[in-house]
Amino acid sequence: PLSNFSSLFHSVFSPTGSHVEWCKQLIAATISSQISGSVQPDIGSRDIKDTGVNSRPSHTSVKMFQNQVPLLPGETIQTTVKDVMYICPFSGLVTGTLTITDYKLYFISVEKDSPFILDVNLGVISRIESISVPNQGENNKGLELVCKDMRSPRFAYKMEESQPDVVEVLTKHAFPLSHSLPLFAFLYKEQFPVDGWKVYDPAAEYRRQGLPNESWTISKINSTYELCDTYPSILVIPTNITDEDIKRVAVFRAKHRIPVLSWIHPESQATIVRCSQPLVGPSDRRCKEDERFLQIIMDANAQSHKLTIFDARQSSVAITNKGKDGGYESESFYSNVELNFLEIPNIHVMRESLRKMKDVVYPTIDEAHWHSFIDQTHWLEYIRLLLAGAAKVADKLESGKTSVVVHCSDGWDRTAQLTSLAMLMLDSYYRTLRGFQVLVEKEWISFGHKFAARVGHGDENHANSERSPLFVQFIDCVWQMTRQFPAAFEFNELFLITMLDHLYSCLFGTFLHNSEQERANQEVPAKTVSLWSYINSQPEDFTNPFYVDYENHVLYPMVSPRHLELWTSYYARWNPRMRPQVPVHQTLKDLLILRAELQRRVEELQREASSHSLSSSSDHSPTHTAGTPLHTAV
Amino acid sequence: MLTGSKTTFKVRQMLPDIKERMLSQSGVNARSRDLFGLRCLPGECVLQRAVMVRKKLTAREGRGWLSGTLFCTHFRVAFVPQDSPKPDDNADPVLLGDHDVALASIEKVVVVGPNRTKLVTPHSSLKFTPEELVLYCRDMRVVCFLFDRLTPESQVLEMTYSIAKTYQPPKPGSVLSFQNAALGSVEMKQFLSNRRRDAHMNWFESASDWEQELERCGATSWRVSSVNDRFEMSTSLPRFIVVPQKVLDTELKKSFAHFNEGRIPRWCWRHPRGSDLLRMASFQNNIYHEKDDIRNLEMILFGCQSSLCVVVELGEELPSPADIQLAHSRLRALCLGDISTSMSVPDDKWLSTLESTHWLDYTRSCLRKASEVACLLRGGHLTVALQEVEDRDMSCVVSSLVQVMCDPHCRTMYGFQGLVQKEWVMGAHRFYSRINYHRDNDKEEAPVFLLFLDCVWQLWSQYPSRFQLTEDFLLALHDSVHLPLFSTFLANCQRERCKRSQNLGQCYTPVNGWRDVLHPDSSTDPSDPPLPPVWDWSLQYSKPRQSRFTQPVPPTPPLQPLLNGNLNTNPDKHRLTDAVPGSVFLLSRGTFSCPTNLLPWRSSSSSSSGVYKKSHRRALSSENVPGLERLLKAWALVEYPQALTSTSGPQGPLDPYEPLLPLLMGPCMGLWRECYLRGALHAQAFSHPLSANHLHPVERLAQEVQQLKDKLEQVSTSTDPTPPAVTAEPRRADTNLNQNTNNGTFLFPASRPQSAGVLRAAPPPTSANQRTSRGAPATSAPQSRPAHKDMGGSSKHTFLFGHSSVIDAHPDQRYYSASSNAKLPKSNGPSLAS
Repeated sequence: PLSNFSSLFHSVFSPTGSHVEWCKQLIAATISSQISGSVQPDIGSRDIKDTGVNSRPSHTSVKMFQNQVPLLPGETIQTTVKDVMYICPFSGLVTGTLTITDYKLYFISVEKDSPFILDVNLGVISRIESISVPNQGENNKGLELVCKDMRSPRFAYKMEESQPDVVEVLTKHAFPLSHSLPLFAFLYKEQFPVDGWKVYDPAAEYRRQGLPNESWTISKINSTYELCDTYPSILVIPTNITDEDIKRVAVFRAKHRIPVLSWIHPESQATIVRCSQPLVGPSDRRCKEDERFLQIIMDANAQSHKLTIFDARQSSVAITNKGKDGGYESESFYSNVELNFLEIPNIHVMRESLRKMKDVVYPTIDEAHWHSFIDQTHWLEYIRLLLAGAAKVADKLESGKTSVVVHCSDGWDRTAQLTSLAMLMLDSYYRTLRGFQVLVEKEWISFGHKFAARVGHGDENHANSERSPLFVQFIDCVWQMTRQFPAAFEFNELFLITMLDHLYSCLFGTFLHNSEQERANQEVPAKTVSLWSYINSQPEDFTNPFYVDYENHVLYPMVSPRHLELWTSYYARWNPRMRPQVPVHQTLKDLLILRAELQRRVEELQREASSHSLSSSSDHSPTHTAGTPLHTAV
Repeated sequence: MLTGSKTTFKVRQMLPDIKERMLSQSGVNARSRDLFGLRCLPGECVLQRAVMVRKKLTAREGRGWLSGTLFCTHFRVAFVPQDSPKPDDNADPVLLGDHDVALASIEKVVVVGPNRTKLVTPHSSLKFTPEELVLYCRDMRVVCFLFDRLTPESQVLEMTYSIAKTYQPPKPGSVLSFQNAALGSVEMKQFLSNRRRDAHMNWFESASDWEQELERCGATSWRVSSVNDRFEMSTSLPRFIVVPQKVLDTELKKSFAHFNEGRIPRWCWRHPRGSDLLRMASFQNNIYHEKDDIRNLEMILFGCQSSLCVVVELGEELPSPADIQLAHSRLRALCLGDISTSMSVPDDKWLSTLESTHWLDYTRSCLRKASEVACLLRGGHLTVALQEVEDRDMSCVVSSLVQVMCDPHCRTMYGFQGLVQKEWVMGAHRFYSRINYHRDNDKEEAPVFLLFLDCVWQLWSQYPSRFQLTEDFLLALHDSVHLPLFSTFLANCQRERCKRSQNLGQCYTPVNGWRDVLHPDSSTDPSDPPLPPVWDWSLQYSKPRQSRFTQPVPPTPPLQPLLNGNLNTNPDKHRLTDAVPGSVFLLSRGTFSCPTNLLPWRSSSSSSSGVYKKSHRRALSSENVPGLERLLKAWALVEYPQALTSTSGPQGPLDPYEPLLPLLMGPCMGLWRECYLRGALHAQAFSHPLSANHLHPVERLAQEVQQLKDKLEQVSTSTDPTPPAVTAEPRRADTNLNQNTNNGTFLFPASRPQSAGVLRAAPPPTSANQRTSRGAPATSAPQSRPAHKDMGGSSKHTFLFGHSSVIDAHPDQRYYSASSNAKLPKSNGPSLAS
């Protein structure tokens, strides 16, 4: 067995071993993902990439049909067009075959030695535009797909009488809801060994937090979504408050989103409570029950005689909202309450910011003015505001031992961003692969972040002002934290990018619809697959090898723009010149395998050595497990 | 002692009388050495002391605060943390402790009081008691001390005044007094003169050093010439230069006049594919070219390549020293932030302001030029001559960057040090003028070397696993540049260094005591202390910190056998070698041309002989340009990876001599945060229990692999003394084991010192062996999880990434004894290596 040991070094570090293999793979991957991205986790393209050495039992039984279009279970080809030109902004024109299914657009060119593949799922398309393509011979029709994920592939093709127009087919399947068709998630027939719908069990999650306790109870008051149609059915509210009072509070809060507990500090019992703005109005209305409610929340924490309210909005906007029947808590009516505005702009500002970002990163990146262009998008500034706000919340709980109430206007956008980021800083459980899924399920999905409206799943109204990349912004903040604390998170960057890709793809049911009630009505869990089923079926791909469980550590990220970075491996990933020089992932994998092997050896030898020293007369020789030849595992 | 120091404090006014002061202090040495836990250097004297002071720790140090005692001597501001181990008087002196700041590197002293900040000058008086003392350093560190309420107020004020008065004011002479404060004592001089030069690196001082390099590169048709032995040919060139074998010294002598400062084309490096890198100054144009001269000049320039020479003009596309100086001062202003002027850049303008410093543009242009040269060299069988007017600034940058890109040896610590010796120290970069220690020559000041370090860092950050040296090493070098103590940086050329050390033979032959004046006519002050080279890291850094200068890397496969000195693997070779002998091209702005006046002797028609005229004319037809352009294009293709397959086979990216070509797009050029943003103390709103650990993941994993390998060795030694009575089976295992240890060199170069770099967390082999053989008690099992907000996760056991729990449950866990963890340096913080 020990001779394997030397071959181990060979295979990992000599150019004759697996190195060559993975380099081939890498090149293949770069080609096939020229547009779909080297870390693009689209199931289809992933499996193509992985056909190299490691043939892990494929959960996605991708069937190869004519034209070599890999299809997902339940996916059907809608149309195939030959001699289409892909106008690649990086390497010029490529001619090939374009296939449109009900899930994706698949372009393959075999002009060169290695096939060129472009794989765009239809969910990611924001709008489809006709463009003019002069001087391309017969291919006189032009098509641009403006995507939600910072790219806009363009094609040139020719009109054929016999075939339906590509644009028509594309439009129909890219925006199924506008054409009375189901989202692809309801057609997807994949079977995963793990059921992701079981990841989040609110009762179990609250039990983990030590709830219910004497001050907080798990209430079924919203079990039929009557109290608040955008809240989950299970809520945690203070014990000594009557249902009548709660109903009065609900009337006083926008969209009936009453203050409910999101997280409780295991030691100080300080809590993060979320809600919507109070309906104070221009006449400074008061609600005795609401005031008492906050008083009870304050009293539930014996460590502090104060309560801090973080209003995520800009103070000027909050004041304006008073005129629109909204408003904020007056410190004179609510005793011992401290009100802070976090001055975060609204969803429209964020949408505009990311739109500007797209112009900066796609298709060309300006070398000389890169930094000032990034400054002009203000994207990092908003990231800073969010992280700083969340850090303030976390610090208030951790250092101030004071309970906090977080709200914005409706309590489903900035509120979700802030509470989930603060919880990520405070609670190491949410920094695990499983825990993060719980966090997203809880603070975002169950508490009614309007994913359908913000993303615009299957809807062709691309100009809808309800759309905004709030979840992207949140994931960006998480990524910033993973950069600053590289060992504190169990998941890796691929996990974050995968989540964002499937935020748009409509392949999984996880991010569909606006609220728990809508999802229940549509029977989403029964009829679709959860993203977590896919993730948790192959957790090793999404795991950070450097993870250390810093239990009970509170992470405060540095929020100065000097310490924030633009997430270029997500936003600028389509540019082939942005690919990292050293495939760090692969080097890591190699080293991890090598380390595991060495560790095994050390343990074995120790066992051997100790068995000798303990009983030198003992004649039972240690059993050697044959060392696995490593290259097969790389 | 403190009363004594008061008097020394006044001595400042008597500065000229250094000798007397030194003598007066040497008497008290024995007692002053161990003063309140501070280990003084010989002759060093404490001017002021303040107790119960806290030092703010940077992210790299683990963040938070450290309490201890603050000292001000006439050499440094020293901070001794509470509970730090008692200094060992017998250990070799270390100039600066981990928390110390040399006075010479302090640029500004600022105090923060209640609601206000004040810049403290030697003459200012304070109307409030400072709560915080902030030292802004030239190396872009910002060191911050907090005075507790427990610190006696008088100590706070005295300390502030002491530092303000003693830190080096920017004027000549103060550098000398600083050097004397550090190195001037008799003991220190004695100590320095007994130090040996590190034999691991090539110093490029003797002819044999150069020959060794020629041999390493396989450059067979070159020779070392001592024609400049007494600096008579060129004052700035080193004593030994490398020239083509076929050129005789007598022929060589006539060529010096044709180049600015006599800096003729000299060999720097040979690419394994048989191309040579040369550098030279600009041509002297107003000189008559004799026929013989021309023959010699052509021979020198073409070196061993008969066919093709590309002259790379460095002036146009690269920043001038003045540009670099301006950019760097802007960068400093931006990154340091300054609480005394509250002139910090608004958050939303940070990136734009960074861009407008042009610092990143300049690193990009250097890297781009070096990439072009690297691609040309890769083509094989040509000579690339870097030409700069003076050949002392950007040619140092580009020639050494090319070698870092192409030569894995130059990415090791010793190799890199040799490279700096070769291209910068011997290449006569004007360190002394460019760094401007005396602040008396602002016009010449330009941190060209720091720009080079930034370029190397850019390469390092894009190819972390291809470097044996680490970011810590680059940082240490960066910081050392700002200390006026090292012979490496305190001269402009070898001649000056030799003059200073009063020994023509070697730059660093320490003088045996300052009274021993060998050359009374020497211009230098006889009391000058001997200056060490910067490479003597033990003078500056403790062993644990030095161990972080390197990381294990996969070994470089040895050069494949050379065929006639050339490696015939170049696909483009035939296209280039069919060139007319003597073709010369100019590379400028990414295009090749052959202007008639490129080689002045060729353009002057009167003197050109028939032979050269003929070849000259044919070369003018530019028929080689496409071939050359293809070489450059290979680089562009790298930027579009999908095209890689067609140009280079599967071996392409794996060839260790393939250049590391950096990505140069805006997002790919990073700011060296670890260096320039160390001082951004005010960026943070909270104190932090955890630090962002900045070891690169690959670095960390590699360290673990190395640790495991060493453990294997340990275990193998512990099994060695197995009684011979055991069965055959284990004995077989033993032999295999030894084989393993040998095979271990597969993984990492055997020359690597066994414990360097990686073994921070590993126990010393002997003690581990003892533990293993004895069978440590169960109490030494890994500790449980770190407590709430524990400073760093240092109580985690050694192999923790992800799979640690498996080991936890393993019966052999006693091996990972807790005591080995206790040795972890604090700065490891939450690192994975802990």
